[in-house]
Amino acid sequence: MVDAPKQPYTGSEMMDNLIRMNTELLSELWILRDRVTILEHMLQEKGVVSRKALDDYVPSGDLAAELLRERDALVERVVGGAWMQGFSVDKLVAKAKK
Amino acid sequence: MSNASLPEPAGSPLFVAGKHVSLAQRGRAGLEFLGSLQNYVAGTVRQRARHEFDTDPEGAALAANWAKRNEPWSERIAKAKAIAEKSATYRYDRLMQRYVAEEVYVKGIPATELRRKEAEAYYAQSPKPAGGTLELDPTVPIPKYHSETEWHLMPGGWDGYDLYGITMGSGVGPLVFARGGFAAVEAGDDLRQQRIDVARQFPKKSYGRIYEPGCGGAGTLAAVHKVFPEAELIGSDLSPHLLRQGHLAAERMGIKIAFKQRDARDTKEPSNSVDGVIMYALQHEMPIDVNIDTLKEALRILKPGGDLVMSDPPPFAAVHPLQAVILDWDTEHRGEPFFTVTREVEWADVLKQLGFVNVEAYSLGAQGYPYVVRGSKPV
Repeated sequence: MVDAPKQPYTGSEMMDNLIRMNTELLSELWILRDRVTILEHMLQEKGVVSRKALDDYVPSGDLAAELLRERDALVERVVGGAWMQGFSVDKLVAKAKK
Repeated sequence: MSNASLPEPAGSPLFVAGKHVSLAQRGRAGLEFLGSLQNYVAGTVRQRARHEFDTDPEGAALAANWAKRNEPWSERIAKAKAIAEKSATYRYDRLMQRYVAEEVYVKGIPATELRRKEAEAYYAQSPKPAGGTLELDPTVPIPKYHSETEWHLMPGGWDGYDLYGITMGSGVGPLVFARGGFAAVEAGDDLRQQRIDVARQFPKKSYGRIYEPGCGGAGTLAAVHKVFPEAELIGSDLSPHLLRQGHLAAERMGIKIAFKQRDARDTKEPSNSVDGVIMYALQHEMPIDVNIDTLKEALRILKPGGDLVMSDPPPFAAVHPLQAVILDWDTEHRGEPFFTVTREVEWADVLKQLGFVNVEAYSLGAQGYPYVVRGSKPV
């Protein structure tokens, strides 16, 4: 059993934890990007979808609306997390209906 | 003991039926990320920390007479550490070093486990024989300092996981450590080339028999083979797992090596029987008294006129104070219990006291690593 580190390296245990979380998220982001890049490469190799077609594709209609909705929700969840003002069932239900 | 603290680079191909034993995408990409992170932190963030150290008046004053101060090393390191820790950049660098040191196993072992079937097939193969041998001796006493240390935060130590050879050979070695940036190894350093450069420090043009105590796997002896292809090679270690891995890798590479399970202090080789002894990244994995007894044993088995070449991280006196703090840090934070005590010693002086002659100590790299101490047995 390898023991946990003996001290917070930054001087604050919470800061250490936040940096570790951030780094782990960066790791997950890279793993996903690596996979998507391989996926694009394989799709192109098999003649299914070309990378140029992906680059040139402009979402419109329902797809554009879906992306906008998901993007705004992501920003609200991540950026808004720092200003959490309390919550109720009504607010949470309203959020789901957005 | 084992020099695998600086893991073997991707020199020993791990093939099953012509197919490389590679990790699945998640494991591979996760380890590659750690390689990039460590490379960036050691190559860029740490340079900023060094600049902050040098522009701090106390840091500059300490660096100006670092090697000549009339203080015990523990006091000098404490002063340098206090200056370094004023820097948020330095503290971030340390946190990331610790994170990578943990994560190579946290990510690497599950990734290896997903390839257990292929890994076991790899170990079950009979490679085309190169003529090497593997002699395991379960009667060799395993000292506590070896068995009770989880080296480099490796859960269970060298023999703690039956597939560590795959974790290191297909994962951590080529994907993380090959990019440098840990302990004394600078970001971007080529570990494989460094071993060859160290093997070239043997002063003669040819050698009959070369012995490596604490060989770990086949990494250093493969480098020796490249420089002295005619030499008969013998490697010993305490770890059966590393010896098995080394034997398999050497046979695959077509290099004949006799691997033996031995304590470096008691090689059981006849006196005056080898022409050269090489010790690579071994010193810092042994207590001082074990180091001295290992050097006495090397002197005993060397023929008169035979040569010893040792390479390990540099002593504190040979590096910048911030680098000394970084080396010292490994003792408490990266499973290197003997790093500090062995860096306090000028091993060239020890060699002279033990009776070696033509003793020299010098750095091959700009930041002090690899550091070489060499000497010869009197004729």
